[in-house]
Amino acid sequence: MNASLNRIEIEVSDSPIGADSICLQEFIRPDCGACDLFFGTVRGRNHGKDVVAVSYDAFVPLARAELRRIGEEALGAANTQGTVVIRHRTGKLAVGELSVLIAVFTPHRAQAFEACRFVIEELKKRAPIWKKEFYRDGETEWLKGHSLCGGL
Amino acid sequence: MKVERLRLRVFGVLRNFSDEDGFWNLELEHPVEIETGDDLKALIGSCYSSRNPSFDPAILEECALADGESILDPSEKLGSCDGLALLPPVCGG
Repeated sequence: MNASLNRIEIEVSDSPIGADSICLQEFIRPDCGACDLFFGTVRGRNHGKDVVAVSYDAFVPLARAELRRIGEEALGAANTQGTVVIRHRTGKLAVGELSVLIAVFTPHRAQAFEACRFVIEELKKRAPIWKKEFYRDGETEWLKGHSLCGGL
Repeated sequence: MKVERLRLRVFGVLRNFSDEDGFWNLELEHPVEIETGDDLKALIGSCYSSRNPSFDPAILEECALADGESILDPSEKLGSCDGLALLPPVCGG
């Protein structure tokens, strides 16, 4: 596959993500007949506790670099060329708000599904982003996650 | 030995202990050549916990050191202290 045909768009910011915040038409390309979209939203219950909000912290320059690498790798893993769009929120979000958006455009649907799954799974393990939950009882907790000690 | 001022960016759970919003300001005394792995993290942990007894330096065992471009290889010699960040385990998404 020709990686130079890949397009990777990354945004890590406190700008809200809406279901209508991605203009699909902007990314549609004649060699791609499939688009897979993934939205992550803030869930109102976790580990048996009522969650009222989540705050995302990020090391933005490294997060952008790592998400770009993940996007490239996702297309490679699916053995395809295409476009990957990844947007991740920072700041405090209420339950139901969108925290992450992933859009993958590839020639065929199986590649789009595979690459999109790859992105979200790797993002959770590798992107320098942290999540603090705010509970209804007033407690807060930084969630435990994946150590980056093994390198990225 | 060398004494160096270190302004370290911290994230996630480490923010609970930050001197100011998102930074640790430390003065480290370390060998002229020190690797960015466990030795440096142990020094950082020892230095910070001496100032803040509620901080458990064991938390640093799972933390990585990074600059704005990449995670530092633990065997890498510490060059400039500028722009270093201490990253606890991640959980985005």
